[in-house]
Amino acid sequence: MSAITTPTSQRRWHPSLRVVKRPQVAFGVITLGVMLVIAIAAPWITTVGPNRIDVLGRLAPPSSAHLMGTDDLGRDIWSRVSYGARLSLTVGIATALISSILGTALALVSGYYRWLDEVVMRILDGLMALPGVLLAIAIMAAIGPRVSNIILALSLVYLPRCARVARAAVLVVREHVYVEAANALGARDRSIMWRHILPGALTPVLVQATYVFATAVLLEASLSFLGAGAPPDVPSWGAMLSEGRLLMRQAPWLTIFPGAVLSLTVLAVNMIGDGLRDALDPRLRKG
Amino acid sequence: MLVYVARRLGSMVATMLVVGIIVFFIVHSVPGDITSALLGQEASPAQIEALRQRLNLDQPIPAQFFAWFGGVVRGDLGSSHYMRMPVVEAIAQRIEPTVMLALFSTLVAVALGLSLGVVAAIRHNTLTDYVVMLVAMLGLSLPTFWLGLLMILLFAVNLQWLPAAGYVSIKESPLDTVRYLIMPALALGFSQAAVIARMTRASMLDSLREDFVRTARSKGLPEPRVILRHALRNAMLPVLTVIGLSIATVAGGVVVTETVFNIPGAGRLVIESVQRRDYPVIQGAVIAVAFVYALVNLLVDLSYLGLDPRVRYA
Amino acid sequence: MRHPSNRLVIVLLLLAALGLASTAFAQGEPHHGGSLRVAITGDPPALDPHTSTAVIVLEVASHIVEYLYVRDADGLVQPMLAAALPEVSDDGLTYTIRIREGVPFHDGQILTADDVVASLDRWRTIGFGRAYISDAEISAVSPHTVEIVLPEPVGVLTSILGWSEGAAVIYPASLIEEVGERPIDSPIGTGPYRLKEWRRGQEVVIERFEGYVGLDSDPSGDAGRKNAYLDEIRFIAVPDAATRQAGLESGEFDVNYRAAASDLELIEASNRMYSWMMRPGYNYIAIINHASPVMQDPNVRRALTAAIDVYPLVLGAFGNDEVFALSPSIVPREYGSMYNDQAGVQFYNVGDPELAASLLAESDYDGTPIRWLTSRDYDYQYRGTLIAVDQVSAVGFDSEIIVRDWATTVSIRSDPTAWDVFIGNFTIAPEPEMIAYLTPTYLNSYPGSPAYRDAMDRLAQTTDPAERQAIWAEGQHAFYEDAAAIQMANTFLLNAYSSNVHVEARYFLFQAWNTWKE
Repeated sequence: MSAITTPTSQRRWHPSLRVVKRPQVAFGVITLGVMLVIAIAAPWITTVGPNRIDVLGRLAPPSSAHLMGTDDLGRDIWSRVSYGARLSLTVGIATALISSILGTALALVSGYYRWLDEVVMRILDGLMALPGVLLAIAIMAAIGPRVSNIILALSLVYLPRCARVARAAVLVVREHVYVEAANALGARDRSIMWRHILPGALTPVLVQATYVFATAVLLEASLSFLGAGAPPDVPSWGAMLSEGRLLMRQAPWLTIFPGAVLSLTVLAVNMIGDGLRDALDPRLRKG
Repeated sequence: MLVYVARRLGSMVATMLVVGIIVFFIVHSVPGDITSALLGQEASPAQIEALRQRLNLDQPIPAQFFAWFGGVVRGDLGSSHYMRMPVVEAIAQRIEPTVMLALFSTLVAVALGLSLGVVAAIRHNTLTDYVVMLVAMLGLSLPTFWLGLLMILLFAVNLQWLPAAGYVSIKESPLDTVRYLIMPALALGFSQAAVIARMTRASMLDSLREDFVRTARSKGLPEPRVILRHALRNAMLPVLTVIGLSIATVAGGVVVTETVFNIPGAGRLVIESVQRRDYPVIQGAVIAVAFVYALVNLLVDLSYLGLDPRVRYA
Repeated sequence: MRHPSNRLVIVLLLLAALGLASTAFAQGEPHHGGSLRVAITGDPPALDPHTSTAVIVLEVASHIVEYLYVRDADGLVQPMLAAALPEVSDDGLTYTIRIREGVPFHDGQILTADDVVASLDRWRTIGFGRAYISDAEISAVSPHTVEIVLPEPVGVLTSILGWSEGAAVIYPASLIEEVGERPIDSPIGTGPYRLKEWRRGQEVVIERFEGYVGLDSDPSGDAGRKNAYLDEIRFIAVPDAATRQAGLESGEFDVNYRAAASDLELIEASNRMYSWMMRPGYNYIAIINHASPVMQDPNVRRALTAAIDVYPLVLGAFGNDEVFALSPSIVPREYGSMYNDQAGVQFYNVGDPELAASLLAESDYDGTPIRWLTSRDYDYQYRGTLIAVDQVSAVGFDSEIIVRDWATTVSIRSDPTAWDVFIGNFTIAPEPEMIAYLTPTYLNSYPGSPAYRDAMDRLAQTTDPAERQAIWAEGQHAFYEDAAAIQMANTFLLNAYSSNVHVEARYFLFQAWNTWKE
């Protein structure tokens, strides 16, 4: 029978930075870092604003004046790609954070109080049964196209998934003997949740969060394709892909550049997630 | 066992009630209604109001909800405002292409994903592993609508190997069904394959480290048998979960795929109904999807019981 | 002795000559038969023009049902189901219309005055006609003569009866009695094609009506002979524009019913397809919401109008300058007598930021953001709005862009407190009284300046064409002077055909009669 497992929760609060040395994670971190720099430094690394219209200069191929060419309204694509990084990264990070934090909180509470578990799980099941795309479109249509609304809609879409992942981890950890031991020793519910259960649940949630980041960026692109995306003055890689689609043969640069950076970003985040899981999970299992 | 199934059926009903409430209230809080789709641009306010009354759209929201849900419980999903036919009939007419697309893409995804995942696990940390995982990653990183159009431009317009758009029923010509679904199934299945490949790889890696694998090897069993009969079987549990979840992903993915490849399926029907604000269809389709999804999950869970006795008394 | 080889050579030469001749004939002589696959933008909401005047409804239904009058290639009204133009009494109150004899419906019944009376009655009760003759008395005075008695003259009645968007189509009286005011989903008409099957959400299939009795005159516009060369026409719903075009190029479809202007060069350069521009199309204008507080001061409106540089705006909106024509005339040239490119032309396409800024300074504009309503579902609306906002901001206007999906946009547009400007394509007609945005009941709530109202009142009472032209010149001038809306361009719709489809004659709405496929 399993011996009393050593509480490794204390060790796992600070995952070893050695994980960054793995090649896939390194690639992911560097690429993401570059995207972050591009997003932040956008005003300084571009020659013209992302929304400046110049109809007579429309559909110009890449040149020294416009590194990535211009779109169908004459707007500079490099500038839109650069500022577009802000939207994708903001949506990705915010959605991942909100859905993970809320999902974990929900899982902690309902995992600990079993009566709450049933109710919460039914509601989350209900939400998860709605295809994400449709739920997001409906929410955006109801409350309007603002960036904060996109984050809200996407967080709602991913909340059930994060809650489920956290819940599964919580259930595993909850059964560990040391929790019983802490209980027997008279520790309060809240402190047990915080100091013992939470660290154990953290790793899978962290890994899931990176996947949410990646998928949220893609879902925002699909939302733009279906007409429900960001407002007009906010450049969006997804909207650029969708708007440039009809001109793929006449002006491929409209879609190649945003498509490439979108894919690279999603790729980078996925790699970080995989690397994290590879590094942290085996330790979790061997406990 | 029977008690377990009964309990699960009970929670299925509860889930569907929740879904029904959520979708009804979201859909009705979106501005606009069917009148803009049914009447021309120059319709007068009087015409619009007359149409609203005829469709009972001027009733208070809770009254409309109870009228609708009462029907659902009796199996009557109401009638489409746009198509003037029962919702059940409208969905039934359009369900075949969606089911075919979903099945075909899942098949592609599972076949591709399992084999890639096993290969990557066996060749762990070698070049093959990295290449396979990179290809899988690309699948996850490209938006379907973009990949879809690239495929159409290459295979349909340029090379003229495959048809650009549309669908042929399996009752008319199964061979054509496959021809029309190859590209959509690939476009949709590629990203699912990636998810399955990664989960298979991770699960296989764990499984390969387990004691029983070492035992099997030390017994002198041939390596392929060790991998397939012992390690993979044990690794399948989390993979099955992922396959089950990916069916939900397909439900979302068919919407975009059907639009790009012009497949007259239920996914496109729902998105068009959202654009038109055809409430009965949106609500009916979502409830139907929730039902199917819950059913599929039940089946997946039941298959757990077959595969892993440890779960039986969970 | 004869040389068999000589005879053989002669026979072979003759055969070759015949072969060449027959290929020449095949190219010139219409081929009867075949199925035309037309990719349309979506499932039509109806096949019944009385209940929906959406263009897609008209374009499909016009193969099945017919009108009393139609327009020829010169824009003149000609009889179709009627035997001749209506006889109008001197006071303009009584119209006598003779019906052609021996015209069969698809179900075998022969067209009589009763059918016309029932159809016109339905048309003016639930359809487009309600704005014009809802109080008229319509009756059959003989089996082939219909009489319409109006309480007041309606100068444009003949014009409307002969206008496709007017939707005055003729059904059998028996069908109308059966269906009443509900939409007719299985239409029966007198047209060259009959409905075979309507698979909702997928396609509408029509097949040749062998018993069709039409006119003998040469095809001209919508008038004259309608040759039904094709056995069958399938209107296939393909909502995605890129897929429609790809399907045409890969051979999946024979016609792309709405091709994108940005694909025009590609289509022209290819020998597998060709383009057809549908003129006159629509008017691309910015309508102003006259119920909005910020738009009350005419100087604000004039400043807005003066700031717009039309050519770059419409070019950016549509992507190719061959699909539009800058036009100061509200009624397009193709519609004949009411075309006028002089009245008010000094207010058209000014594009002068300095003038605009000075007009703005003179006005009571206080910096309230102008609310531009638009939708991404129609990319030419969306792009045009972005460019317009860009142009007016240089002049000193503050703007807010409200972007929603189409259904929400329509609902916002019907709320006079919620928007200020909307840019889009609007239906135009041969007569100003038939153009919706010129009427006071339209969603732009335009009450009209005194000069404009006076001109329009007089116009409604006048039937003489020359007088009407003169009055309309005053009306158009008043409209522009008051900056009632911002006129921009006449825009054309684009069809793309596969090269093996030949069109003998066509008017601007899509038709597949007088069309054959190799």
